[in-house]
Amino acid sequence: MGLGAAALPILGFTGGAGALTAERRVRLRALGIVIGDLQPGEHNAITDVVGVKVGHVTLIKGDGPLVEGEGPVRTGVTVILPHGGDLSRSPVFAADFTLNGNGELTGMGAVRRTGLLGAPVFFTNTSSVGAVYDGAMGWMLEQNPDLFKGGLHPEPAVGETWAEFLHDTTGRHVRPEHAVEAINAASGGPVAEGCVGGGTGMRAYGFKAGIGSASRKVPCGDQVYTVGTLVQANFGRRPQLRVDGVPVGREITDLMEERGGKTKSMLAVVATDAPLIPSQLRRVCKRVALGMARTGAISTPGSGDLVLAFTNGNRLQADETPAAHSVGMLTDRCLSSLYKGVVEATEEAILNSLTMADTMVGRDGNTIHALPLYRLVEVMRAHGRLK
Amino acid sequence: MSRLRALGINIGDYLPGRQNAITDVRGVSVGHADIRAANLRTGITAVVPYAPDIAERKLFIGRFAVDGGDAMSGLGVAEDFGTFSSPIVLAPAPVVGRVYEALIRYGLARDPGLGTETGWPPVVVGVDDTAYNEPALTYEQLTQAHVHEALANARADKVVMGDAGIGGGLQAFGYKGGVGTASRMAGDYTTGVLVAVNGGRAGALRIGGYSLLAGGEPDGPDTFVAIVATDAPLIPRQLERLAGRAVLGLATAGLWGPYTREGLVLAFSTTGIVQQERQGPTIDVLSVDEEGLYPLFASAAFAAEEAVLDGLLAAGETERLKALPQQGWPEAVRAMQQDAR
Repeated sequence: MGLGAAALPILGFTGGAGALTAERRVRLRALGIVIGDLQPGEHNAITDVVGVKVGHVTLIKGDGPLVEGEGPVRTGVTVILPHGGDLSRSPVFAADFTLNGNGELTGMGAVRRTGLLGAPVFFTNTSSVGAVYDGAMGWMLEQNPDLFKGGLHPEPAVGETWAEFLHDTTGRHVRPEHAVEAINAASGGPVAEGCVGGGTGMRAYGFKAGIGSASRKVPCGDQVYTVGTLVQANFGRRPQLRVDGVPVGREITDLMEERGGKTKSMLAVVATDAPLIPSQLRRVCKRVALGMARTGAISTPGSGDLVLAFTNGNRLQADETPAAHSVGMLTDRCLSSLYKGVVEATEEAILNSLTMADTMVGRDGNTIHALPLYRLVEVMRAHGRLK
Repeated sequence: MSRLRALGINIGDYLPGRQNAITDVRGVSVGHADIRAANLRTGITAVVPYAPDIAERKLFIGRFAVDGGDAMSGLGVAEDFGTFSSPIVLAPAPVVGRVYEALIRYGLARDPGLGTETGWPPVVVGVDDTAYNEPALTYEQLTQAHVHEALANARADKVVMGDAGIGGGLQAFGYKGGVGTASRMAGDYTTGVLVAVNGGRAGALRIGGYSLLAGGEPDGPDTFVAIVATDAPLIPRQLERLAGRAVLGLATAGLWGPYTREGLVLAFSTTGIVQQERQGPTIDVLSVDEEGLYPLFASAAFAAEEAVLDGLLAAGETERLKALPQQGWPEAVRAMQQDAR
């Protein structure tokens, strides 16, 4: 996944449209398309924020007609761990923002009350929120039997988007143990993207999408902070799609799914190591909306566009009780650079979720096509954006 | 066991409804499931805002919380749209996910798909009942069947108070806590409150303004949850205010005090909106005039205060905690109220 590896030779497709599904999926930057001007971190992923881990459990089973309770199954669980320690004893500053609220992200009551996130963050499909929450709670209680002592009362943050077009949402395919499996699978380094984890059954702009991630280095004085985003993209109509400002969705008008269906939401997590307090993190969250907008989103009334941001650069120890914690707070001047990083990383994460996702056939043979990369490159060339 | 009113003590103005309960608000029913096992006394309480077999219904909701937050699912929709369409289920905090899953199954069994008109997202409120229960044991023992049991038990008339449902493991003012409810009728409208009476410091209890200084055991969890229902047509901002006014009643009884850590009040109106939603581009929404709000606000405050006291009175003694004694103070409170008149 060589960063900035200049590009076009990697397009390993061997034919015309018929070979679409065989086309190798690569990240946006590997196509030579660069969003913004800040430098990404080593992996261009949320895990560039030191300590952050991501894990996926992907559940793909069965083909053919929908049989409720049986399948086909196209879903999973993605977890984001803010650091490797016990979060409930060492929570991180956090805040959330609702761009449009037709969605679920549990645990935000505790985050708003305390400004602290003391639990992992999970993305899954709509009907599996309870199972993931339940599995996460069992894991948290094992980690810390005193979870409900003291004032923190952390709750699992479980978000969802709707996978019904490909997946048997009625079946109870995600089980509590999958939440724990995702945690055990979590690691730093490169993040698997596209049709993985909670993103497995998702689509964006009429193309197959799912999980995407990106990061930016944010220089400020003699410090360089890192900010990373991870999205579960399931929103947007084809004509709205823009890639680095180019109206790609109006140029690639075929490869649509045969029938409509609801697709409308995006979940996003922003991680940073910059010293921020919760009110600043809330402001950071709002910039995710701007990154979304750059790809063409309008955030429809049916959307659950929910954002959570945390920093692991201001660690608090809940089991110690000093009279006061010393915490850092970025100046507004530096915050401006961080905002830029958030907007760029969000835009790129969404586009990575598209360029990394393969065509997927799900329930009843419903098919969502992958964004054809060679045609994307052609469109970008035609607009003078690629040589 | 006697209710406060039967002891000759009235709280505030306005008459209660027929049951003096949240179920006096037409359409609202309440069901409990009790869970008792070795070292476990917990349960689930469901406040069902309309008959559960109605598939498509969306109601307005408002919330008020200490510090702006508490364990509650369905927050995104409730805050952004000001609507909900799920039973409100009060459950021990460790099993919020399991209850959520049970409500999804319940919704899916009734309707194809999950929509904000058809019971999604579930509204589950986590309650701290660790005064009696180890979270790990609660997590192990409570099942989805308990949620379905609570829903199946929902009744639109008498509400079982005290140790029923989530009331099983609550502690308040150093005494056995529990579920309490009360209602008021003001003008054309009925407003009812249900409180998970939990928290409140020993000695902080005020009955009709009378201080019951003698208090039970030292302190338990300082958190509570209250649900306000009204048949008055209120829009979400008005319901937020109604929830806030219920808090005044809770504070008057001493439940919301200086040491309160968490607290959540949800207020909803039974005047549904979604039935019309698919019939055209607009919906007729009624909204009570500003002046008309104040009797409703007062109703919520009085009913909330009385619900706290009735919840305590209904709770039974356990090995660990005494029930609120029913002797000694009623005469003094009556005398004080008499003097005030």
